[in-house]
Amino acid sequence: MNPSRILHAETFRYAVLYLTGVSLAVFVVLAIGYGWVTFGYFRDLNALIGAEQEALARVQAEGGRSATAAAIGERVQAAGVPRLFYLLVDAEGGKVAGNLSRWPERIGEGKEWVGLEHALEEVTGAPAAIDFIGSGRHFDDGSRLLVARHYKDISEFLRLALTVLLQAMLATIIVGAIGAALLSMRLKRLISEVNDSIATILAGDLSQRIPVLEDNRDDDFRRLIVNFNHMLDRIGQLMANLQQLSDNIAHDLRTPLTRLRNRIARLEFDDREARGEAVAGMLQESDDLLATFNALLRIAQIEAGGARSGFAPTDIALIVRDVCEFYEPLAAEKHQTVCIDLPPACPGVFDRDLLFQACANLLDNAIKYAPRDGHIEVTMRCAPETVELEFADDGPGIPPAERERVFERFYRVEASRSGYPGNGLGLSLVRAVGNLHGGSIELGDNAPGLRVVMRLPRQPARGELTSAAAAPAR
Amino acid sequence: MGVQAAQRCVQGANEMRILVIEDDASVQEYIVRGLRESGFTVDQACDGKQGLLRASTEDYDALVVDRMLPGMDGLSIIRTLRGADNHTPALILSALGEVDDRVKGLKAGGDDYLVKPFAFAELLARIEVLLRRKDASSAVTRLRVADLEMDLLSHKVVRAGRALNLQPREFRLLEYLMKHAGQVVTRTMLLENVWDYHFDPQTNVIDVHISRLRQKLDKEFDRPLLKTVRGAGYMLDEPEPDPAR
Repeated sequence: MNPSRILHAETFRYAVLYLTGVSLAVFVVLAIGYGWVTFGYFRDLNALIGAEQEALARVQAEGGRSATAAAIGERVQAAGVPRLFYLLVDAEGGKVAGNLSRWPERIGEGKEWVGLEHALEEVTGAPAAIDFIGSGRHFDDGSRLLVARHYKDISEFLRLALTVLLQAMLATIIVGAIGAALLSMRLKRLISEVNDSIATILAGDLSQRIPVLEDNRDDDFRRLIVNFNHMLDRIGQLMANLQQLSDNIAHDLRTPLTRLRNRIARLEFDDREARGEAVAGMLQESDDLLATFNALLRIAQIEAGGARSGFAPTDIALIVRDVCEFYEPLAAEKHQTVCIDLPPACPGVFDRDLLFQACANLLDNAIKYAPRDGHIEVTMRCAPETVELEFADDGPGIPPAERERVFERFYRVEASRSGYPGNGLGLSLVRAVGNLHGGSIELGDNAPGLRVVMRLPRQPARGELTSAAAAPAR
Repeated sequence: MGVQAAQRCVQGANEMRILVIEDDASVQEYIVRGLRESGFTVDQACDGKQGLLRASTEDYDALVVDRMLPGMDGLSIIRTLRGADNHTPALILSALGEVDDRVKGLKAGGDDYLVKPFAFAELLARIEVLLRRKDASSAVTRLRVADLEMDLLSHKVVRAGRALNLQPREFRLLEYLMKHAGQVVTRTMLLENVWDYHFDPQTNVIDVHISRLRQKLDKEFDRPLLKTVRGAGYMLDEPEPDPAR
């Protein structure tokens, strides 16, 4: 990986940004600490000087200047290495006592604290870098007292601390930058691996998966890859379904289209009468095709979930009764008995057209597959929250293995492909309508025959009724 | 066949003018040619604004309006016309085709709604119903086709002096057919108007209902009134094709 790419890598930039932020924060914290330590030290120092002055002032008040001078003399003697410096001068500025030789010029009046660097340098003859702090005081007899203290030790300590701090920060930044570069390289490598895999997959090889890292850590990155792979699995599965579906569509529509084409091709050889017949047949064939297309579109639209404004307060028992009445002649033609067990009413919020269609498809199937003189039962159980609809026939039924597949578009049980008319879309639509209503469809065994149970909530789960409630009940 | 039969029943309606507002050239061609062959005078517009202009400045007997149009959509056109007190019957064409859209279309002031793809016979039958609706405004209590009579108040049906015993649904079926006597009525039109459901029967249930009705209506009489128009639907009409009509 070349260096300029590292510098431009997003991760590297983030790392540098983070490092800068942390360094700044550390610097601010340390600066505050430094200030706090310094402030504390000088506060203590000032208190010490102040206390000493007070003590000497009491001596002065009790015994006068000579007593003070004696006390100062004692103190100077006592401290081998001078901790504190004293100077007592008379009203004219002549030295009376102390270990300083001359009253510094820059010291003011009263109790103020002053920096004495230059003055004390000349009086002590010590190196220029020594820092002092001191305070002057006037006594009633005109003499003046100066108490001072150098703070070389602390300032050296602080200087050292500052140096160490700056060096440490520099080291942090350098180490951090290297770390950021390494991290960035690692991430860059991981991401570009993933990117390469995605590019391959995008190029069309959907069977590819992103390699999951060898190390078994369950980190976010690994989870990301695993989830991404799951997503690919799902997409692959959906695409396979789609493929299957379009294969089915192509297959199921090719047959009637081919038939239509052949009929047209034959048309010119037909005589007038046969031509009339042929045209009628072709019209029927085209109508069937249109019906299939319409059913497909309808299922697609219902599945897309867009058709919600058809929902309105309505009585599902009435819908089912209408369906039964509508299909009664068809059952009568086959001498089938249809037992209808419905509650007087079961109001709820449904799409009445779609429910009619779904129930019609189910009853149509029952009539189609039940034998001549067969029995069909339509039962409705109306619970407070849900309604359960059952269509049972004594036809051939559906083998358990195929009970899920019959909901697929164009899927038809092999045995029924030849014997019964139909386009293989009826149950797909029933399922789509059931899903739209938030319900479920279950296929079971009626021993013999098929038992279809559709459970629907009487109120839609989500609050999508705002527009539908305003629509007039048709 | 279907078209021919339908054509016959609009003869004499040559003065009927229809405006087709449709942006898809091939669909427009299909509709316009079919309507012209059926004896209508047809104007066309291929975008919404032009369509609205023609519909509001000229006098038409019916409009065929596509739902999705460049410039201005079909529902806005109809809404605008209705707002301007123009009540020319309008049939909305749509590729969307769910109950949703049908409700929206009819709310906007459309008189009928047809989903693409459709058979031309379906369109023609519906246009004819719209045209008829325009002049049949007064409330009727008795319907009459040839020797068949229906009393809408007493719910009695008599053919050639003999009372027919009809089930309620058969009565409504016959009522609808009689109200549109001489017009082709498609299966979906029957579903929508007699059963009041918008749906797609997978089988020939309607045909079974019709044949039951036919049993009661025509079986014992020489001249059948209820005809099947192949590829389109049904028509209740005077028994003998009358060339002068």
